[in-house]
Amino acid sequence: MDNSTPLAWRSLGYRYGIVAVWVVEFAVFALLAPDTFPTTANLTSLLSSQAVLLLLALALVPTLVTGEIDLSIAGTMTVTATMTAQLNAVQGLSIWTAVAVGLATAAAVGLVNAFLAVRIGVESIIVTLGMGTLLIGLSVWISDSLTISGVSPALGDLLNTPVLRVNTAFYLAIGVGVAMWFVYRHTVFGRGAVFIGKNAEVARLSGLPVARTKVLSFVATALLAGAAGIVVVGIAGGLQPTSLQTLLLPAFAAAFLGSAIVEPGTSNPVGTMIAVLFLATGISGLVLVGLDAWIRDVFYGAAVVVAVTVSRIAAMAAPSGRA
Amino acid sequence: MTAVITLRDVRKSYVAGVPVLQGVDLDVRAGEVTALVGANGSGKSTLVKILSGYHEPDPGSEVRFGERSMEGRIHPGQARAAGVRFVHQDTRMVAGMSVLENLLAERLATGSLRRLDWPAERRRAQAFLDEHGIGVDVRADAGSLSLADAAKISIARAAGPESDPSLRALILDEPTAALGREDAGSMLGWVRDLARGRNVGVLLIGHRLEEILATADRVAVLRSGRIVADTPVTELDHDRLVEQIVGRAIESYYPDRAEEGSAADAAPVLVVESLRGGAVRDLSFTVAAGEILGVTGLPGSGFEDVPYLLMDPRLGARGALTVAGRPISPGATPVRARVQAGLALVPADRKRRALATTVSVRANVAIPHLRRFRSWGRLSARAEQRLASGVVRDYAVSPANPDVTAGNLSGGNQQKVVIGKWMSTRPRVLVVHEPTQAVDIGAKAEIFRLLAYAAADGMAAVVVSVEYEDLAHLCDRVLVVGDGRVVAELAGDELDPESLATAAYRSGASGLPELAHLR
Repeated sequence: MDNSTPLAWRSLGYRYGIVAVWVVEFAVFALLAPDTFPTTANLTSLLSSQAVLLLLALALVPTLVTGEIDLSIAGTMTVTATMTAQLNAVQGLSIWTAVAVGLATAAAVGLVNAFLAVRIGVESIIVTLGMGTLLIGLSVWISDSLTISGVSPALGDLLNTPVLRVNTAFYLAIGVGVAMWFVYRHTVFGRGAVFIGKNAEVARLSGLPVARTKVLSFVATALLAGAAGIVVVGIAGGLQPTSLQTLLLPAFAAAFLGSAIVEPGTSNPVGTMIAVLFLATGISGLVLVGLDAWIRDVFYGAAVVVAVTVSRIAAMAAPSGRA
Repeated sequence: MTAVITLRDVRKSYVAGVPVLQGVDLDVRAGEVTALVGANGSGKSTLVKILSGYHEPDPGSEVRFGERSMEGRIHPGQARAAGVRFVHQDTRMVAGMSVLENLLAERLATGSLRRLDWPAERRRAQAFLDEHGIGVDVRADAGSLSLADAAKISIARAAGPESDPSLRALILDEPTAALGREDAGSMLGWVRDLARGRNVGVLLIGHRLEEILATADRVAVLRSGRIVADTPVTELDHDRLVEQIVGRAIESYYPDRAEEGSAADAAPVLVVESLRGGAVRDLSFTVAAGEILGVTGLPGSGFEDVPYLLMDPRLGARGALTVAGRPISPGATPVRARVQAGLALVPADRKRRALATTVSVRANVAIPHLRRFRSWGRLSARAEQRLASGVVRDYAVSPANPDVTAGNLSGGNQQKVVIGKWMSTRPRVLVVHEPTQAVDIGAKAEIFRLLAYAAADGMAAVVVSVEYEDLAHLCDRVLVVGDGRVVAELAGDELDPESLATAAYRSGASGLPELAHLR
């Protein structure tokens, strides 16, 4: 096994090379915008602003892992946020009851997606594409096409309190990601889910509960998207229901880029979190260097294309392990 | 009579020095039905693939269609121009569309935007079927046709209208594979009339000997890559033909299995009672601890459904199963419960059903064990590593590294991983389907040895295969399935490749009730 060292290095390169790129990215922006980019104010506000996208990108992981896709996450996030905000600010329910109802709504959406995609066997891309748009429409109807404001500050206090100048919502999102890492790495459910994504038929004939795992994954995705919606409401103290759709593509960009790193070829929470922060750093830097907000769309759009292309190439060139 | 297809010294080796075809000479003459038969491994499917243009014959081989010599890989257009048409065994029509739409599909696919004159097309298509004596209304749903009519239509399509003088020969690859006996009889009679009526040479490739004896004018037998007999059908009978097909050649890489005769007396660990589902009509058998039971038959007889009916609840099989005393409902009990009861299945389709090729050997081996690896709420990576290393070592997987991506192993090593994965669950009953498919000779010998060793250790094995030679040497007892039922059981001195082949081919002709039309 005299070639084991270069192989291990190569594999490390595929898995964590993005961290080196991130460092370079950081250094370049620090040079180009020395007064604005590498400042505590910029970096802490950068991290504080990523809680929602972190949760939304992590939400994609459970379904992607099992070989399905959920395009309805933005809709689920919107309907959860709308229900929560409307029930609390307009109907006067307590904020915690409103949050519980919002999350229950998200879980119900996940179950409907799962029923159609797993039980009936409709392609999940189609089911969730329709579901996402449907939920946005419902949200606008629920809110009577109005911007909701006046949500109880109790939720905001919980999520906005700065710790080391970064809001608690950010730590919450990172905590969720770490918990997911544990689940997918170290539990029977997670390992089974990953195997199902690789070959569902082999998994089924080996006795894994394929249908149940996929159903739970759709529900987990919906709940995490719902959690992202609740963070939106908490941080902003209100909601404009049509504003959240723009997060769908960035979430996919991060999730796809995340599948190309850490555990290449498998959607994974750690890679996804790194990808979210990597992309956010890039956009923050580009804006501070002087580019307009249009760069955001260009950057995230390009990231999706580049991420899937790179992971395709990496899959072809990956160390095969053939001795 | 003129030869419309002429093969001279056709050779093919996939690997240098291992010839599959060693010089095939064959003539197909106009107006005659020439049958080509051969056992598994005879080179028949390779020859068929050369004729259909899938494989290129080795240089020096001569293939002539009519007067035209085919160079290299036979191009379908070239064959068509020479008047030779190939009909594949799975030429099906799209259900839910009319017969007419199916007939027109080729032309629509090449589609210009010209408007179709439906009434004229319908009249033309109906006339086409009528002249071929196919009593089908072209407006009928293609899904409602009998299998015989559907097969006739696909052959008629290949043959083209009677007014087309270019047709010289038809090559039919197992045209009756999906058909019951009555349907097959009517279809083949029709083929014979077609050959006579239009002075066309028909090469009929098949394995149902009764049908072939009733249809063909001559029967050519392929064995070990050569035509070993080419006999007018009037000089043949069933037994003589089986003898020609099987020949005699015994290999010696089979394990020595102690002939204690005690195995069958041990308590049964697998009891199957009137299993029904797929092509299986009614199957009952038992396997004792330490016994290796073979299950075989001709393709389509139902034997190849048996492994999956035993393991997969989705197939909705009926009947009753008992594994090591635990009752299992074949159509309901989840796979996990069957695995826990001690049942394990090694499917034939390795890449789709047996092995996840994009993940490591370790992940594949660990899958049935995940629950056992829990400690303190998390999986023990060490237990998993120990198991995977053990499997790689015990089953001599090369390279001996459990972190290798499974898809990068050779076929034989992949199969050893799959067998090792299931053996590590310590099954009471191991069901293997074509365990040595796409496996090299060395690995094949090892796999047989593993099965023999496990059986000696008290496991029961069910080997489902078409390899008569292997079954005869490996198994204590072999069931031959015909029409979804056990038609013969061979053991002891009766169990040899010849008798298995004879029983299998005879099963295609036994006096069992004809139920195929109920499908």
